This record gives sequence, structure tokens and C-alpha cells, in this order.
Amino acid sequence: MDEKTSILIIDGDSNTRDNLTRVFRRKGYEVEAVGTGREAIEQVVRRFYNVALLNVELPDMQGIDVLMSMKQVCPDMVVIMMTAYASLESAVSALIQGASAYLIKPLNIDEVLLTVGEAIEKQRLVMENRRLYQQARRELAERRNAEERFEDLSHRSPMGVYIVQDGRYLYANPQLQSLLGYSEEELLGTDPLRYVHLDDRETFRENVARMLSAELAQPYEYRIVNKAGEVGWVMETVTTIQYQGRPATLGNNIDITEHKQLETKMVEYEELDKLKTNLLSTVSHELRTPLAVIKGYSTMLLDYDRRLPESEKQQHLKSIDRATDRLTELVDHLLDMSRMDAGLMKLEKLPTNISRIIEEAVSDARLTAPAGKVISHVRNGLPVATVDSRRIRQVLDNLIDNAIKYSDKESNVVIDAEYTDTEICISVSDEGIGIPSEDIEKVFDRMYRAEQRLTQGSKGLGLGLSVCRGMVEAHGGRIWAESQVGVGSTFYFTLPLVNDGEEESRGDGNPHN
Amino acid sequence: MATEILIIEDEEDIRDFAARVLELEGYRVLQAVNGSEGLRMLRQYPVSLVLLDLRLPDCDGWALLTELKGDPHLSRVPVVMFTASAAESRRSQALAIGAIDYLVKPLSAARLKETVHNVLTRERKL
Repeated sequence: MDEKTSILIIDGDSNTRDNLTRVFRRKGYEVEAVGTGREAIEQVVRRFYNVALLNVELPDMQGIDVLMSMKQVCPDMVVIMMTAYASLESAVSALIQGASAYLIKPLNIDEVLLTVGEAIEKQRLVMENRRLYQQARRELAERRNAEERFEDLSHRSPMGVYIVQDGRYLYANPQLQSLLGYSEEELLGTDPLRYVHLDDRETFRENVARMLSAELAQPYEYRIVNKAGEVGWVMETVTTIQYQGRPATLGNNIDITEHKQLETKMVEYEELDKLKTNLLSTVSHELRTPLAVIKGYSTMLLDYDRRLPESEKQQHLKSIDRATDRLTELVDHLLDMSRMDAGLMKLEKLPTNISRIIEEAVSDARLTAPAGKVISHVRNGLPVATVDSRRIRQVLDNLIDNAIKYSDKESNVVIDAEYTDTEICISVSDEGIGIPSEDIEKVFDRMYRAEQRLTQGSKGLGLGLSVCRGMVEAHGGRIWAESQVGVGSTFYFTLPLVNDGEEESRGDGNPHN
Repeated sequence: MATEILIIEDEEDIRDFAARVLELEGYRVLQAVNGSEGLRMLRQYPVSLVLLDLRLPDCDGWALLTELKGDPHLSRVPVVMFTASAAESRRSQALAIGAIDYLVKPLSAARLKETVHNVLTRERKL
């Protein structure tokens, strides 16, 4: 206590008052001395005294009554009773009423100083202790208030709010609970990483660390997987806080799944739009090329009829014929494509001899291909499958045609087929230029060809394989390719061996696929 | 000596058609199936006119046209673009780069003949 220690002396005897006043002033105390109980109470009401030296006998009152009054006004004040032997009893009862000690008259000055010193020290400790206790209580109350405020705020927040300490959830507000689909009990104590999409865990960890070290200022995004296994997107910020005296991470996040879905759709639309523009310009180009052949040769035949030898005219008519075939094929593909897009592809499925279809396709291909190029390993007696034979023939023609188109004249195109109890798998292999592995999935995408440079002088829209896929999938089969650049490609497709009755009972025999 | 014309076109049927019509009209015709072959022929033979397809397997017809017009030895050779794209913007772009005319496929034998004839007549007058 920095302030001067103050002492109030209460005694009817002026000699005692003067002596004590002198002694204590000399020791540096601040001293006030009064002769009556009434004056003493007035003093205590007016100001704080550390110590009162109170004589048991007073001219106007009993010391014990003065003690009780003073203690009521100032409970912290140390009161030391002074008494002669005669009134020891009342001194003892004074101790019961809250006096700290008593001194017996005649007074021994050393004893008085010692008693007062001890009492003051004790009072200091008590007061300090109480101050600390009160401060602790106040802080506790504040923290409880803060926690209540935090909880109240975070409960009402539209954002997910959480506290993580030592890699475990300590707090998760209701929004986060509903976002993740787990209850509070299920979440608390678990590792937040558990709810982050596997592919995003690494970057999530990095982003959290970077934001906590103030290296990252912008909110980061990642995918979560909720209890039902659904994937969602959140945008999040984190900050370091002190929680229960130790550092913790306070996180705020918001569900951006819908936003992300819209974003993805936007990108898809933009791509579709680009594709459409490409398709349009490519379709225009591809239509104009055979048209140019027809227009050119027909006008040439008309204008120069007499100057052209018969054999040359035949050549030109053949060119016109090929161009019309090319146009027809193009128009058919475009129609098939738009039928598939509109879900209007109708299959006329009948039990079909697959061996025969393949045989027909191979012998037709041999008509135009170099001699000996097209080889079939397909045996007779493949199982009968229920298919639209015209469509399957179209797929075969397309695959064989491609195989011939993308390989040297001298190399072979091989057609083969295998079957199990459930499906027939037909393959068409060539020893051609092959397809880079990064493109192997894309060859069945519409316009894959058109997006590339038109290499090898090859013609066509790139719709063929896309149409094939549509046809095969409409039959419930699969189509895929295996290839090695410079070695060759093999295209496979399957046809399921399920009779109509079973297919209908399974309920997925939708012909309008 | 007959006037020489170079056709740069990858579509065989179209190239043959154009070549045959121009031969019937008395021109000597050189044929190239892609841009690099076309450029090589241009540097080797004196040519009076080039028919250039915009869409070639090895290069963009635009790039070839730009290169021709930037080459001091070749820039004076008139180039007629020969394309399946009817877009008007393409036409003005081609003329801006320095093509002398722009033919859209499909076209008749007569149209091809007249265009080539007109271009060459204009060139001779200059």
C-alpha cells in the first residue's frame, strides 16, 4: 500500500491519546485521535482508517458498541481493543465481534507497534487477496459474457463458425453442423480435415497455414463431403485466437455450392456456345466442299461437253457421285446427332445374326478398299442379339471406314469378335497413325476432329464416332478405343445379350435413349 | 508461252476440277496439296496467278497469304482466295491483306474461268 497508513485513536484519556499520537506520527503513520465513541464513528464514516485503537471504556459509549458500528461502516478496518485487566472479559467479547487483537494497559509501546504492524500486514494480505479474488471473478464473468456473446452471435450467423484447437473441433455452430450434416456431439473432438474432400486436403492445409501466417489474404475455397456423402463447396477464412488461454483457430465459412454449380454451368454453356459456333462453321465448310465438287464438275460437263473425252466424263461423274454420297452421309450424321440430342433416336430392335452383319460390312468395305487390306477373324455362329441391325451396321461401317482412312494402303484392318454369356464384343483394329493417349477419351466427343487441325488431309466432321457412341449406348453397350501412336488403334464395342422379356422386366429397356 | 497458274488446295476433287477447267481455257496449271508445297513452287516457277484455299492441312491460308504479300519477290503475284467460307468479314479480311479476289465454293466452271480471266486482264493493263 503506497498510501500512508492511517490510525484512529479512540480513548477518553488525553494522555494516552497524546502519547500514542506522538509514537505513531514518529513512525510515519497518519494519526487522528478522538475522545468519544460518537466522534470515532463520525471519523470512520468520513474516511477510511487502516487501524483503530479503541479503548473498551469510553465516556459516552461502550467500546463494544463503537466497534460494531465502525465494523458496519468499514468492515476492512483493523480494530485493536485497549483494556485494563478489569475489563478483560469485554475485550474477549470484542474479539468475537470482529476486533483483531487487544492490548492490555498499561501499554507497552513496543508491543503496541508490533501488534499494529502485524494487524496492518494481515489487513494488507486480506485486502490484496480480496482484490485478486474480485478481479478473477470479474474476469471470469467477462469471459463468460464474451463466450455467451460469441455463442449468441455465431448461433445467429448465416456462416459456419468453428473453433479448432490441437487439430480438433472445440466448437461448431449450428450452420456448420447442418452444412456438414453432423450433430454437435458428432463433430466436437474430430479432425476438421475429415470433412474435406480427399483431393482438396493438401491445398486446404496449405491455405489454412498461409492464412494464419498472414501470407494469404483472400478467402480460400475447398470441397467438403457431408454425412450423406454429398460434395459441396465452401469459402472460408481463418484467424488465430486465444481460447482458454491457448492459441486456437477460429474459422468462418460460407456454403458456395450453388454458386459453384452455376459457375460450372456457365462454363459449360460457354463451351457449348463455342462448340456450336465451331460446329456451324465446320458444317458449313463440310457441306460446301462436296457441293463445290458437284457444282464444279456438273457445270464443267455442261460447258465443255464436246471437248471432253468420254472416259474423262465418266471420271467426273464418279466424282459427283462420291460427293453426293459424302453429302448424304453428312446429312445423316447431323440428323442422327440431333435425334440423339432430342432423345428421339428410335431403335427397331429385332433378333439379329451378328455374324452376318459383320460379314456384310466386311464384304462391302472390300469393294472400295485395296485388295487384301480388310481381314475378318469373325467366325460364324456368334450369338443372336436383339439390335437395330441398320444402326449396328452403321457403327461397323464407320469404324471400318475410319480404320481404312487412317492407315497405309499396305497395312491391314482386322475385324474380330468375342462373346460371353452376357455380351458380344466386336473389335476393329488398324496399323495406322494412332491416337495420342491424352486424346483417346476425346475421340468420341462430338467435333473432336473439327477442333484439331485437319491433319492428314482427312475429311469429315468428326461426328462419326460420336454417332457410333450414341448408337451403341442406345443399345445398352459400351464403346472405347485403345491406341498407340505409330502402331495403330483398336476400337471396341459391346452389345448386350439380353432377350427382350428380361430387358423389359428390368425396366431399363428404354429405346429412346 | 502459256500463262501459269498455281492452285493450292488440299481437296483432290476440287483441285482437279479447277485445274481441268483452267487447262481447258489454255492455261498451264501447277498444283500443290498444301502450303509448304505451294510456297516451294512459287519460289521455283514464275507464276501469273495463285488460287489459294483458306483451309489447308499444314498451315492456315491466312498465314500463307500474309507471307506471300510480305515477300518482295512474290508480293506482286495476284492471289485469288478460294474458300468454303462465305462470311463477308473473311472476304474483307482477305482483300485487306492483299488478295485480289475472293471465290466462295461451290462455284461454276464459268465463274472460275471469268474470275481468272478478269484478274489476268487487269494485271496486264497495269
